[in-house]
Parts: sequence; C-alpha cells; structure tokens
Amino acid sequence: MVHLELFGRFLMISLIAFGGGQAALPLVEQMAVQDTGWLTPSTFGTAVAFGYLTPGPVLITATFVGQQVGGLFGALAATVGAFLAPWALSAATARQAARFAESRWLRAFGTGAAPVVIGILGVTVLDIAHESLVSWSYFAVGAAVFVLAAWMRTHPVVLLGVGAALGWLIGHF
Amino acid sequence: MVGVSRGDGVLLLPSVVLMLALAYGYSRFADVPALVPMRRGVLAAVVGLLLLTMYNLAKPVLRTPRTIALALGAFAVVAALQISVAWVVIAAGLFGLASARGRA
Repeated sequence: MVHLELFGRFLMISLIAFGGGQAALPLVEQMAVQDTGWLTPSTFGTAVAFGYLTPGPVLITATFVGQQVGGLFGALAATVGAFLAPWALSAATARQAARFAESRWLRAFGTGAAPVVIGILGVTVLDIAHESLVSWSYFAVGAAVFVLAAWMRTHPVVLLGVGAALGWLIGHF
Repeated sequence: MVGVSRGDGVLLLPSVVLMLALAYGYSRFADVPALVPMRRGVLAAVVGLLLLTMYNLAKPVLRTPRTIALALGAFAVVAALQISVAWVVIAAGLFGLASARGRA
C-alpha cells in the first residue's frame, strides 16, 4: 500500500511544482518529513545532497525517499510517480508540448503557485538548518558555501566535499 | 511543472541506479558516530546551496507586492500550521487563475 502512496504523492508533486525541478524540493520535504514523517529533516537534507551528486533532475530525490520508505519497489514507485507526467509531456509532439506550456490557464495558475513554492522552500531551509547548524562553526560552513556558490560559482559537488571536510575538522578539533 | 525534455527518460536511468546505491549506503552508514560531524557539514553546505536556490527562484518571481505577500503568507501558514502543502499550492494556483479571470 505504501508503494501506491509513494506513487500518488510524487505524481501530485510533479504536477504542482511550478518553477522547475528545484521548486519540487520543498514540496518533497513537506510531504516526506512533515506530512508523513517518513524521513527526518536531516535525512531529507542528505537526500538533497545526493541529488546534487547525481546527474539529471533534482527530483531524483524521489528515488531516495522511495528506497528509505519501501525498499527497491518503493524507489521504483516513487521514481515513476515523479517522472510520469514530464515523460508523458515529452512524448507529446513539440508543438503540443509548447502549446501546453504556453497555455493561458497554466500560466495564470503559475502566477499564484510559483511565489508560494518559494515561501515553502524557506520553511524547508529552516527545518534542515535547525538540525545541522548546531554551532557557529556549522553556521560559518553554510555561509561560506552560499558565498562560494553565489559569487565564485563553485560547483555544488565541490562545495558538498568542502562541507564534509570542514564537518570532519569541526568534529575532531 | 517539472521539466524533463525528450530523451531524459533514458538519461535518468544512471541517476536512478546511482541514487539507489547512495540510498542503500546511507541506510548502512548513517548512524556511524564518526560520520555524524561530516554529515552535519554536508547538511550545512546543503543549507547554503538551498538559500542560493531560493534566491535564484525568487529573483524573477518576487517582483510585485502581491507575489511577495503570497510567498510570505505561504511561509507563515506552512511553518505555523500542520497543513498539506499540496493544498496551499493548489489554493494559490486557483487564486492566480481567479485573478487572471478578474483582469480579463
């Protein structure tokens, strides 16, 4: 039954995530952490880190959530749920897909939904920060990563490696 | 909606396999005490990266008092109430539709 729930919940997320793949993350967090209690905020944060490590869309975190909740079949159910609608859209002709994306109704829906997703992402960031920024040292790691990513455009994989190394140093000294 | 272009279905397979391997590895090693500080460092980095994502998403969208109010309202409602975010997004989307109809 949990497999069906995983499929349904990720299908729903893929349909309402206005603003692209990154916009789906806060919806996944609220669903997997707050609504169902399937994951802790820190486990979800790790899933996001793994999402940066793997190529392709960030919504691949669905595979992680599915595996944690329902093993291999859970991972398959969540992955198919998350990517079914985009796959269906990509199977349509380019003209049909463009017509759908430019639909007046869809755009009007997005003008309300997109800002809301950004607000929800704020809650997600706070949830993960609450469990990870437990001292000023970790706070400094988060701030340094933000600065490096924004101004130096350092690749996320490098920054996650820096975070791991600094975390190890903080824990041992 | 989440954008996946033509052919991404095939490209997705290596990501799914890699993510599965990471998920099984995580299940096995997550509670090793020696790794906890490293994991915390990674999560701190995730917070930094997500803050930048938030900024990048907000820059083109939060340009009017109305969109800023919607974002702040959603933040407050989701942080304070035990409410499913799907309803919040759908309600905001319907609000967007109603506003467009009102203007038409």
